Amino acid sequence: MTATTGEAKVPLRARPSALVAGGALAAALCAVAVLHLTLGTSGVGLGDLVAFATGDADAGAEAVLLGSRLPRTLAGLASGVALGVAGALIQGSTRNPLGAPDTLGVNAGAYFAVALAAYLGLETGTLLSGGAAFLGGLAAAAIVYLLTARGVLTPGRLLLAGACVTLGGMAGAEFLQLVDEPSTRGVFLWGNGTLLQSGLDRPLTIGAVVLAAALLAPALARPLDVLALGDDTAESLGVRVARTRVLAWLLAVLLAAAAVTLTGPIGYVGLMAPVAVRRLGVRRHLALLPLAGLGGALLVLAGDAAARLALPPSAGFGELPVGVVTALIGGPVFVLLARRTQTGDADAGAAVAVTAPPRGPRYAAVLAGGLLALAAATLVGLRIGDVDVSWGQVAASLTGSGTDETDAVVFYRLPRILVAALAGAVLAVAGAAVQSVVRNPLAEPGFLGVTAGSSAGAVALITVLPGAPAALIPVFAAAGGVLALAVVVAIARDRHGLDPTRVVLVGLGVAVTMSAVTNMMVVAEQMNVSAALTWMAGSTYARDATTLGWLVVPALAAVLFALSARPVNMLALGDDLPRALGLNLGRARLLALLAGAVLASGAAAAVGNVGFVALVAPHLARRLAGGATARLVPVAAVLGAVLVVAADALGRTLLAPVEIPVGIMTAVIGTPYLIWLMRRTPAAAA
Amino acid sequence: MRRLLRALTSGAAATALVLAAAGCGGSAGDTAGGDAPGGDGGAITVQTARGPVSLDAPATRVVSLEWTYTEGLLALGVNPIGHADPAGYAKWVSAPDAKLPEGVADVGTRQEPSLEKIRALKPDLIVSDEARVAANYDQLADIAPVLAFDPLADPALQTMKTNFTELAKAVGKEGEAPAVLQKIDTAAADLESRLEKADKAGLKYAVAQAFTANDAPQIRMHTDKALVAQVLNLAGLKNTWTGKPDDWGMTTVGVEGVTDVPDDATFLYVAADDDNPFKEQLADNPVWTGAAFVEDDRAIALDPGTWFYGGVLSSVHILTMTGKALGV
Repeated sequence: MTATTGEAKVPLRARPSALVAGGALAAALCAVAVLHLTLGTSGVGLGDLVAFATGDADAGAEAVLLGSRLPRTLAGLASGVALGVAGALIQGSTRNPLGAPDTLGVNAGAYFAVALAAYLGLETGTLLSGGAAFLGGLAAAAIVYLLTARGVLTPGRLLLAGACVTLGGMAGAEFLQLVDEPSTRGVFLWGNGTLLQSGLDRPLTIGAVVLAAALLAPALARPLDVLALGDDTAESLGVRVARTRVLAWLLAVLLAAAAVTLTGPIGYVGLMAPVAVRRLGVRRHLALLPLAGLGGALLVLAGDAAARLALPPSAGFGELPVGVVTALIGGPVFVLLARRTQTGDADAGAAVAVTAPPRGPRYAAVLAGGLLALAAATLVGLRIGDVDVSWGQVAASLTGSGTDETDAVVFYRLPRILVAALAGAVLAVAGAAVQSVVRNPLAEPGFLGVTAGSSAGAVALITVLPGAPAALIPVFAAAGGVLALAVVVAIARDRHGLDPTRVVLVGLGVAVTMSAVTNMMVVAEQMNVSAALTWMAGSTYARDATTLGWLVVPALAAVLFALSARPVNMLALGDDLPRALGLNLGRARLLALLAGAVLASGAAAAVGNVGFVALVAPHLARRLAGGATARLVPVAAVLGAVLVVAADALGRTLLAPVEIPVGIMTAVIGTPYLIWLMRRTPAAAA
Repeated sequence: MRRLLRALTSGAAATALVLAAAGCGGSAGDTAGGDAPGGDGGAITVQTARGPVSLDAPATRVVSLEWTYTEGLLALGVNPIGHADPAGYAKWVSAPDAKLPEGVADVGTRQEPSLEKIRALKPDLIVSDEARVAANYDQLADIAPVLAFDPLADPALQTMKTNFTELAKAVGKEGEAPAVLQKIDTAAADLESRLEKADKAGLKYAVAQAFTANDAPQIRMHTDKALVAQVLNLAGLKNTWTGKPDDWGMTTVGVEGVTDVPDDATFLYVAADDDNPFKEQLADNPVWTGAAFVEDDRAIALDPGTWFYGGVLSSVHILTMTGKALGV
């Protein structure tokens, strides 16, 4: 068993504390539900609620309770129960305290599927979109499961795979929704999770599904209890481990899909509820599963009540999505849990396979091939786009004999393509830097909180100092990114130094927290949500020579990183060997991470949040050129440049004159690569 | 040693890339048109959110990146050569005379229009909202003079009129602007007199725009800060919505929000034909069906193409469609 929760062992005397905990949770839930029912724009309050319960409320109050309050409260109950039970099932079956439908990408998969169904104009009845959500969640779970097939139970690998799938699913959903601008505000609400409903029908229908599934869950209680002793012990005690796990995940996906259909992906409830219940001393799944459901409902309703008290809808411009509130609490909880997690990866998890480096001539060929591909991508990028330019005209412009018309187009495209190339190269090196520390090919700087920190920095500047010159935005973005990393390292560090996987887990939690803070600023300051979404998606739109200037510092950092090849190489060897060879491991890791942060936040300052490049480019480079830093970094940089240049060209062309943000295109290109990678992983990890 | 050398070469390549890019940026700057705002050499000076912009001659090839200015140009008899988001415009802006003629180029979205398409159109003027051009102002200004207007300054109606007049100056139609603007007051006076005849003078109303997200209704209620309310008030109608406004003068509420509309008010709303929460999701909702204005048939849909956030033609259309909806 490689994953332990790090929590104190509690004797299996669970019954009394389960009763007490259950009673307390139920009482708290009742109180919060009543409070929740009294919140709203109309004056309907506690008195009306009592009158309604005794059957003599006036018509107006009854209408408000039936048409607005009860649907909302029921939606919170159903969604919370579903997420709580789903989280308990996943945590139990993986023995991973950080497992949950959102951290494993199930919510994102379901959300993407519902968005896809809506985009395709399918009849979006409740059950149909619920079915789509179930299939999407199932696909996400399957991808995560396969990505980690050999080491399911290392929390690090599982969560990184989940984070990758989340990245892809959310980018895909955004891609579908950015096209339709008038509804982006609604999408913002829904994408973060909101309890807003149109009536009782849907919460009742989905609530029934949730109830049925939640009642099935205790059937798995005994096998899950035994599973806690480890796969082998459980097997020897007659538990069919694989079957239990599949059933638990199926049920969890069903529950999560129901929740997403009803309220959108409400973050981190499925993570927090079971953890909190376990902290109350409840270990046996027979009690844990239902209590996690109660806890989930409590979290969702309390979060929504808090949001409505903080930003009353009657006095506001709109509502604060409950998912932002739960993420704001859930992020730090995740960080605290991650901090105590024994990752089990410190030595054994050297998942970055150090392959034998190709010989000299082959390396030269690889690098030359990459540069050729970059040249080709650049030329194609100059050629294609909204305005037709022929190859001959591109050639003429480049050699200085073009007409004014083609010159105008070609020399408009060129700086933008150079920004894309440089940003891609910088991101790829950032990925190489982070992966050298974390020793996991699924790590990327976005998972260290750097990108979310950059967004928070930029949005904070825009909201706190609206009059500040635009040139300060990249400065604040970069500062936010580096600051976020500093926080992550400060939290993740312990007396043993910097555990590579823990740093990423803490980073994921910090990233969630930072995004929640950014979203709160966006809502509270009623910023142009459409513009904010575009920036956060990552865009090369309207980038020119000025942007190139911002990339100079990160580019220099990339060069410095490549020059420090020897200590970086040694990071791949685990803990003991480098120490024996006299390397200050902690400092080397810190410096490599700092390089990653400077690179990633520099790139974010220039082009916003562009995902997957830092994941895909170093990985591909490692396969082509081996793991030695001095060889890996140049190849990764070239491949990253190719990827972003291609994404930029496609984004400009596919829906022209409408542009698809480059960050969404890299996700669209990167996700299939990830799935392809998944086929290879078992062999690589063996 | 060899490894160090290789690292250095790759570093040098990166540096060269940066330098080449910087050089390229320099030359791009040299070819800039020199149309920076603030010059006073031109024959025409237009006030924008970024200060005065000078033009040597009235613009004839105009690209409009916001619907309000597209309809403004059409109201002045000027056909834009390029226009952002024509599909959305056709759906939401259906005022008579605001229909885009054939052959106007589609330049992409309002937020991120295609800069190369705009450049290829060779405009002599680009019009947009200040908030929309935050990212691309410099690049647009490199193509042609940019008029960036701020539609959100209070009071909304006067701001719309001022921006319209400035736009008219830029296309050499300043003389015709007052007559066009007069259409709003004429339509308002006409509606007011018809209301009086129908014994509906001073009618109380609330005006909303609604859509759904994941099947849940979002209702935008408009305060007196909003353009649509200021236009309706011209006809003597009385707005009853007093929620806290955002920059556009709107309060976004769920279904419960409609309980704040007084019982004696008429509820005017706009919703797309394929996304009308009042006819679909809320049709059986007791809050909606129990509202006094629903029970008394005073919840009235305006033509879905009645655009509340537009210019002159949309403002006149608001009045026309309200008269039609009220049966006067």
